[in-house]
Amino acid sequence: MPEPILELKAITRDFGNGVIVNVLKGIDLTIESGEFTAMIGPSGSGKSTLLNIMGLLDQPTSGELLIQGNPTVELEDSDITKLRGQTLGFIFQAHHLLTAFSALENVMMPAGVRRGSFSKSIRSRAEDLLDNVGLADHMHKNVRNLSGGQQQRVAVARALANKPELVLADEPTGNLDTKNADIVFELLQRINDETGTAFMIVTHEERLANRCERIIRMLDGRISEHSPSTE
Amino acid sequence: MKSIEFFIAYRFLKEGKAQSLFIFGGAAVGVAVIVFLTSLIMGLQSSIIDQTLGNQADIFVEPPTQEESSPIYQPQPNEVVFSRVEPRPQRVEDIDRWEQLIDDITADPDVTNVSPVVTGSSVAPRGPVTNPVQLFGVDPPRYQQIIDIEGRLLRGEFAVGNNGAVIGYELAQELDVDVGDRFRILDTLGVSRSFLVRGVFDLGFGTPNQTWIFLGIRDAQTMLDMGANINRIDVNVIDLFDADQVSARLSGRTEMEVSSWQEVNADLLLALRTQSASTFLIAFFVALSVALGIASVLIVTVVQKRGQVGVLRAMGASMRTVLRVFLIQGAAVGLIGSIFGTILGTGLAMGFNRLFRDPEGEIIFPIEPSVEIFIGACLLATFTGLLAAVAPARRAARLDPAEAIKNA
Ligand SMILES: Nc1ncnc2c1ncn2[C@@H]1O[C@H](COP(=O)(O)OP(=O)(O)OP(=O)(O)O)[C@@H](O)[C@H]1O
Ligand SMILES: [Mg+2]
Repeated sequence: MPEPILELKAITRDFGNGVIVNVLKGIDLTIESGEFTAMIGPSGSGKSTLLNIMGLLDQPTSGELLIQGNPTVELEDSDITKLRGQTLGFIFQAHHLLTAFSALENVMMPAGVRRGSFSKSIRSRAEDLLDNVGLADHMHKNVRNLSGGQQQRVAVARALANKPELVLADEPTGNLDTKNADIVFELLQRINDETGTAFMIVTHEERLANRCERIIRMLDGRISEHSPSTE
Repeated sequence: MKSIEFFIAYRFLKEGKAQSLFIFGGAAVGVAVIVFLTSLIMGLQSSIIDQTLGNQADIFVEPPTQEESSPIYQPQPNEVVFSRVEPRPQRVEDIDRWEQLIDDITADPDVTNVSPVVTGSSVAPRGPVTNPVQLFGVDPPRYQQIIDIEGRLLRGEFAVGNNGAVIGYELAQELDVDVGDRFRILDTLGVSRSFLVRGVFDLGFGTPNQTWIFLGIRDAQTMLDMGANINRIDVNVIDLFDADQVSARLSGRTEMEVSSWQEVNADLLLALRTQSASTFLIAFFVALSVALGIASVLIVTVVQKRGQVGVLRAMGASMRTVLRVFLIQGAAVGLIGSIFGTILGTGLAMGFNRLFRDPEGEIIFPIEPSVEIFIGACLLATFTGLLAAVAPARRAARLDPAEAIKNA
């Protein structure tokens, strides 16, 4: 059996100095390649915090995080950056596109910053990705001039730019109406089918969570339910 | 440095249009002030140096000075002494075998022109009035290579010898003579001799115009009682600012006292240096305020762009890349600002040249914007921009990506 993409062991995360808040209270979780997982839970239960730690955007207070079997604590910034660029893709709730750039440039950027410059192959891959999310006609627009649904699809295309093993999506459909939410969600499912990229999708909507292979329920900094159960 | 860093920096500057315009404008104005000021001072200084050297050889070679003998009787401060002071005939030290010496000096590779001079002071009487004058016995073709006399003749020609003289125009007025007229000069024994005015010059300022008289070498030797000797050799060199070194070399090789124009004009040069130092100080403070301006605007930019910075980091941009993106922005502000600034500063200088003229419509002193000033200003401004960007860039690089994204 291949290494899991990502393993969390007894992860905790405290915030604040003085009054300390235990936001994550011991998380154990394993993500295998190709899994399509939903994370659901009330607001403030620590979903985004956990996702940031999984994405190496934040450091846990204690516990261990392995990526493809490699421990990540005490890694240099440059190594973390490299690991993140190679294995992970991100889709944020507020889509967080780079407003100074066009849709195409946003999708080219992950490969661009990794390589140090844009190239023909980066460009043609970005064009394919945008085509794949149905934005072939809007590639050269500044992202500010796109609708919310279009922006989120640019974010999906961008998350896939480096061919990541795992895409971490924090409420990718949170700002969208039902119709657009379905379009984006189905897009993610299709990519998962076609490329075998694993997804971890944070959502508030049971309706969408129930369409995932696996559901993790967060409650007050702990995983309260895991279905199908791993035990 | 990676090309994508330049691209991101460019887009960030472009996105914050108004803000970018302000810092570019600020940098341009600062550079313009520095360029204008530097051009002004350099123009002023080079015109002062030109004017000084226009009437002076680069190097003087003279016989070693002899100790001044002390007076026989030293009066006490409150003592009144009645005495008749017999004016001592002007003692002129002579350079023997000067032809040989001239050959030696000419052999120096940095020396361009050499001219023998016989000089001493005398008086030119007109009725009861006596005018102090300075005689210069020269060989016009050779002396012309040292100082341009021909180009500054008002009337007549630069021809001396056989009792011919070329004199300053103010002296000519004083003596009420012009080309073709005769006037008298006293020799060391107080006997006067008559000379024919062959030319009248204007060397630009006071003393030469009021007192200088050019004679033939032989006439001057007779007037100053010097036999066949001369007492000064004027030397010009290839590079004005090498005069010091050439002077030291010549003084080592001959037993003469050799002085460069820098030594002769030490006071002037000190004044010019002081002026340069204060100019530098002003330029420094202007550059400092530009740097502070760039830094403060970039700090604001970092805050505004923190979301994008966080996303870039999430997408695999390293801290280094973020750091460089902001450093590049600072350097670009400096560089582009300085290009506009030098153009603006040069425009100001041209305008100044056009507006401020003396009553005859002549440029008072030319302001000389030069390629060196251009390049210097651009390098300085780019470096300043880079330096100003260090603090903001470090701040951007240290942004915590998770925080930056959440709070964007
Ligand atoms: N930097 C921080 N400093 C202090 N407290 C923080 C910080 N980041 C998060 N928290 C706290 O941690 C808890 C969990 O936050 P988190 O953003 O992970 O919740 P969430 O489950 O994503 O909620 P939502 O569904 O509203 O997005 C919250 O109570 C929040 O106030
Ligand atoms: Mg959240």
